[in-house]
Amino acid sequence: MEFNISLENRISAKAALPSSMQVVGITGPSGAGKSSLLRALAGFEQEASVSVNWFAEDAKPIASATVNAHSATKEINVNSAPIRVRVGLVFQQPMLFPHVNVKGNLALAERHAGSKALTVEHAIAGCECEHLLHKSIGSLSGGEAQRVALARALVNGPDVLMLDESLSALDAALRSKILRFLVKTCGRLNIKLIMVSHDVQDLALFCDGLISVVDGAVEATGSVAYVMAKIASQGSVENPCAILEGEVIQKSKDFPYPFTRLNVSGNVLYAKATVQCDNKLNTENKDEQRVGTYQYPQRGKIAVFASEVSIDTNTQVNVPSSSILNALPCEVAEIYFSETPQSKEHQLQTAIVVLSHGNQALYARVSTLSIERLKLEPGLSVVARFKLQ
Amino acid sequence: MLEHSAFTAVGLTLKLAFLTSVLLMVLVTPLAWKLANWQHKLKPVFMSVLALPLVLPPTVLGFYLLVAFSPQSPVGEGWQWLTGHQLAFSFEGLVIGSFIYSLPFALQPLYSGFTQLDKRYVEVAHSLGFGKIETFFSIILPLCKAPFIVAFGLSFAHTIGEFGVVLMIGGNIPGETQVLSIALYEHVEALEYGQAHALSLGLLLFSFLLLTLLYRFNGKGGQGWSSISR
Repeated sequence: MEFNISLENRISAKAALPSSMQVVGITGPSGAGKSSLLRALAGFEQEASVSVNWFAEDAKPIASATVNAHSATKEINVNSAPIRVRVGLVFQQPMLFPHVNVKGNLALAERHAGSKALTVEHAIAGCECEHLLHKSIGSLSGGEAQRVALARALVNGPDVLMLDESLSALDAALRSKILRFLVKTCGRLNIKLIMVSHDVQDLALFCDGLISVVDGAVEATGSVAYVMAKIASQGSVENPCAILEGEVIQKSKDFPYPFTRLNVSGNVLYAKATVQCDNKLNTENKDEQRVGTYQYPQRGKIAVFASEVSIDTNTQVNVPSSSILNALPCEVAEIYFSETPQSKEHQLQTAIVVLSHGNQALYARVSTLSIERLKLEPGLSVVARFKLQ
Repeated sequence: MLEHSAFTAVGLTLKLAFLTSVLLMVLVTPLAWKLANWQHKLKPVFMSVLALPLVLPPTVLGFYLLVAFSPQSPVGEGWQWLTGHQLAFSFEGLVIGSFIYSLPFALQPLYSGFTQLDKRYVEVAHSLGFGKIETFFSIILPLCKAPFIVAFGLSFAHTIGEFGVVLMIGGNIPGETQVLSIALYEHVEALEYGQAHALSLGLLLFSFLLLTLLYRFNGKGGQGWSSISR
């Protein structure tokens, strides 16, 4: 996808991402212009100058779409054949129509259901709102209303689905479950998913690509790892999040603990809930994972926040004296010192230490005192120890 | 006991009020929507012009309308050319006069209702593939039901009670322009207080009942759908 958006005094953003990136996240600090960017992309900012091309690589000769501010449906021309791109937007406030109940809202969305629409039954099952079907809108809790709003968008079946903090009222476990369903569904139906979220972990785990927005402008764009590295180095986020990928170890009787184990280049990591499995392999039909007698291992990924990582210069990975289960041998790659007025005042300067483990990166947020005491410098071999949720 | 002419006046008044209110709803709704979504430095001027009938003495409005409806004016001349009869002192003239006189009573509730409506409902409707007309009938109209009912009710009640404008542009032609308020005035002038009492009491009760219903309805669902709605 490519876009070039200009909204006076608010947004001047330009970005291009490969169309293979099905799920794109937009991150940035509060007031950075993420929601305005999303609204402009959806065609709801009447004064914005918008040029957007959702499927840039799929059709190179596409002329830029002209966004009609009064309609979320855009027409783009591919080799003179008009293609209508249906854009769905789900706000943080669900904006369910209060004059009808949940079923009525879904029925209204079904009126103009596109070819990528889910059935009502499938959508409400995936969004965990089957029991809400006959409830009035006023009786729903914030989280329930957000789930119904998402189901309504899926029943309508847009080509591009935009979520503006649309699951913020849900607890982490349910949000993760619904996001898994959503990412899988969008992948299956070829719906481009664009998510704005303050939760860096959600974005890191579920997105293929990221766009970082600061002061209305695009700061970085690209793969999750690239953008995370970029915003970590620039100090745009206080607590950057790294993604580690590995093979999910199948559950067995000899390990009766409630952890999901992930094998990251020979090191076993233990996570409670946040293992996001690779959608390409994690198909609904288990037989598809088998070729002959060999079963492909399931890939998984976990998010590790910088604040959860401590650095140990004792390079022995398994230390029986520590309660922290997870450890990875790493090398210090870079150190970025962050200096805020508050930290200077309190003599508590912190730094982000970038640790490399093979071709994967981890971030550790440590004080400059620790850096001096441990004599950390690029090239030093260390062990990263961290907790996982 | 009411005379036959009183029943004729009641029928004519109800017909005038109904036609005026329907016309106002049809024509003022798009105007109110446009105004609610329009930001321009000249907006206060437009709003003031549209609200003038609220504060102008009805006789002033009636006088200008009478001048405009006369066969010597372009409007009156054009009407006569089209229909073969003059606009002043006709029922059609009364409808046009009532439309202008009651316009702010329809416009203000609709304008307030549309201003209070969270526009994201409309954006969601568009994102679900709804066209403008479908969005209006399926989303805006049900969400703004209370302002619509109040606008219709106030226009209806106000038209029933109008006197000055009707007297100026309609005169007092039984069956054609003699509405209830004019009939009442005629009874008072003729010292027929019994008839005047009956008409006055009827108008009083009708107005009271209508306003009670409107207030009751507005109290139940007239607060509009704010952004806190789910």
